[in-house]
Amino acid sequence: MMRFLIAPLLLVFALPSLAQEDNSQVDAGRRDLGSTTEKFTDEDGAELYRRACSGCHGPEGKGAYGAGRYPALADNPRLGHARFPVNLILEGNGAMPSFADWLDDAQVAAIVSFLQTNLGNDYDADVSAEDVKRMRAKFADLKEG
Amino acid sequence: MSQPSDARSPSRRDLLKMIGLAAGSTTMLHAMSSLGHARQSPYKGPIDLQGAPQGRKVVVLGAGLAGMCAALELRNAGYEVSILEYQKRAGGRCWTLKGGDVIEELGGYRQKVEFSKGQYINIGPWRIPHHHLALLDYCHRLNVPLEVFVQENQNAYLHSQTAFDGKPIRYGHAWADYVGQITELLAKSVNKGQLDNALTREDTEILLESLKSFGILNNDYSYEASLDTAEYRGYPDAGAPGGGLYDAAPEPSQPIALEDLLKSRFWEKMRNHTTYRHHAPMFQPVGGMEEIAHAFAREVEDLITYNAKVDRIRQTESSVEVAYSAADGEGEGGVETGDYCVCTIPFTILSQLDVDVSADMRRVMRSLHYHEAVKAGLEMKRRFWERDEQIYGGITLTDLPIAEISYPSAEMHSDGPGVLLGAYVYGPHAYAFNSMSPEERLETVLEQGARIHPQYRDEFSNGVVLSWHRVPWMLGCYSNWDDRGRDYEIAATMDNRLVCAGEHISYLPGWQEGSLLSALDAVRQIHDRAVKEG
Ligand SMILES: Cc1cc2nc3c(=O)[nH]c(=O)nc-3n(C[C@H](O)[C@H](O)[C@H](O)COP(=O)(O)OP(=O)(O)OC[C@H]3O[C@@H](n4cnc5c(N)ncnc54)[C@H](O)[C@@H]3O)c2cc1C
Ligand code: HEC
Repeated sequence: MMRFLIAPLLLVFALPSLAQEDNSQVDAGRRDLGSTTEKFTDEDGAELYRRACSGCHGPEGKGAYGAGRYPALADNPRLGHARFPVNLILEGNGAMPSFADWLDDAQVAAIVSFLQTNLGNDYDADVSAEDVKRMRAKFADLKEG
Repeated sequence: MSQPSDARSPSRRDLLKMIGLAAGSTTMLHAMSSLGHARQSPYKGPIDLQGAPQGRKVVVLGAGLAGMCAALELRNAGYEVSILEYQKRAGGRCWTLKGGDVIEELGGYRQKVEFSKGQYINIGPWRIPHHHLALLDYCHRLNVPLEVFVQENQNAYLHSQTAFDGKPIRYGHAWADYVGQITELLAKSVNKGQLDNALTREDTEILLESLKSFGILNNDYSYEASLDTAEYRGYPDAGAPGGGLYDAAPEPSQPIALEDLLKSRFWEKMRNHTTYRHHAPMFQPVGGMEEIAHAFAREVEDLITYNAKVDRIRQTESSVEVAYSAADGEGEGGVETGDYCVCTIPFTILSQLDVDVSADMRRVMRSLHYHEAVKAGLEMKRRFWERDEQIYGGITLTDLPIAEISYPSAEMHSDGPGVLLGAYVYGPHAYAFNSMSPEERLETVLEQGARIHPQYRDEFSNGVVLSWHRVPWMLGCYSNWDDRGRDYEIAATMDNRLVCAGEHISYLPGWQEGSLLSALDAVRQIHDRAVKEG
């Protein structure tokens, strides 16, 4: 793997003022981004959250605020039931895009389980890939109707 | 064109000339459309609004191109206008980054742009089709000089990580060889009589002749290394036409085998430059896209309140009341009241505000999602793509996540530095970039680009990588309608006294032309209503 750029860049970017957010653990310069042009490729919920979601909701799920907002997912009482996050991930809402084409049922279940049991959330991880599959069909029906 | 010429009546062109001479060019424009010239735009020249009632006020939300265009035309028509804008600059997505600029991102990252004097990256819009008539007309009226934007460059590259040992291939080689060899296959099957049922004998002969000429085939209908094909695909490195005695005679170059081209999947990218939106010539403003925003701002800046974050929009039967606060948290907010409102705030944000609109409008606002995009600007100390590789402008396409490298169309052949577009990322890869710190994004972009241009190692001086989802006043790139239908009509129709405008209210999403055409339509809706209400 080519790593030639890292040394000079670190000198430039080691300035603490630049990164006010915790550095995510993505391997800098790593060619495998956990994605293709068609989908996300990780299976682990934490990895998937980091790649697909954390850019907006924050690595710690604290959210972000500007002219509009990315809501906090940390300590979020609405994550108690899987149906709500599954719906948002598959259908999107406003500035939250739909990830239906890019995540399969098992990946959605993995992310939701991660959210329900991490980032200050302490719920039972109550969703399986089978459940997601059923919800996916149902949401699609609702949209048709 | 296809009509036979008629000696008795003047030709259509003569008629147009007469009309053009007799009246202004706008008349000519109208005449051209009525005479059946297909003009590829609904723009019919400057909007003309007569009879505005006295003392009517319009509040415009957002000082992007849509907001400023609406404000300019409404004021011209006699309305009182004020604009509320979240940022401390005008232009919205029409945004050019230059040395000294600072980007504050959602999530807390900050990037300082370190480009040398005169260098820039168009981090949002970067090219203008020749058929975007409204935008071109405003550039004309507002004195924004344009230059050619090179979209297609036969000497740029196609690159695949898995084909040709990961080495980039000149676009023109792949193109000529692909066309040559599929033409050869077709010609040979036609020649064997396999299409006899579909074509008459005469047509078959013409087809063969045309395939031979189009594909540069020899007398046996083969596409092969020859001085004829070299005339199209180019010559070998040590065999280009020269002068004098030594090494002067050109030599043929060896085509790339069809199997290799097929496996490379380069053909997926070969129509990229030929979509109607990318037909040559394309244009860019001299000095950066934001020159267009500056030109609009010269007209309407006195109407803009900056640093005004719209929080709430109330509508009554006779007025619109917009409450705003200081975007930077310092300073006063206020309430702006008008008879009507043009709202150009992107739906990503508007859908989160407290807005009095119909339930239908609210539903549509929440169901419209926005695309993702990441763009990188990399300053290189030396324009190695020009000097070492004879690439002047244009775009290299790759299957790496960076997807594109585009070479600057400005200052070609200068000795100074240049800024490359180092990445234009979409899809899941863009979310992966969106989740990285700026330094990780930059390293990733550099590492990938160096696979195509090893000079990156020595020549890179500084860069910036923007993920549009991290832009505090956008929360996205541009609108992504699946299916416009009824929802689009709802979004585009005046709701009580408020009408939405902007890129998202157009069939040209992601193009500045769409913002302007939508603004002009919004202005028309407001004017019609105001005239009716008196
Ligand atoms: C990556 C990228 C590439 C593009 N490429 C091209 C191209 O090559 N050619 C082309 O023609 N077009 C291109 N476009 C599209 C073009 O940039 C847009 O269509 C156009 O600039 C949008 O103008 P607008 O006025 O509709 O919206 P904007 O410019 O987004 O204006 C909206 C304004 O509202 C303000 N605002 C937001 N929230 C609030 C609030 N709460 N209160 C007050 N104000 C608020 C924003 O700050 C902004 O100024 C591209 C866009 C992107 C992002
Ligand atoms: C482009 C930025 C963006 C990305 C990426 C993103 N979201 Fe969101 N998300 C949003 C926005 C904006 C909202 C608020 C939507 C609304 O207006 O209700 C939201 C809302 C949510 C909510 C509801 C929170 C609440 O309390 O209402 C959940 C759960 C959620 N997102 C999960 C995810 C997951 C899981 C991912 C990754 C697969 C993800 N998001 C990726 C922007 C994003």
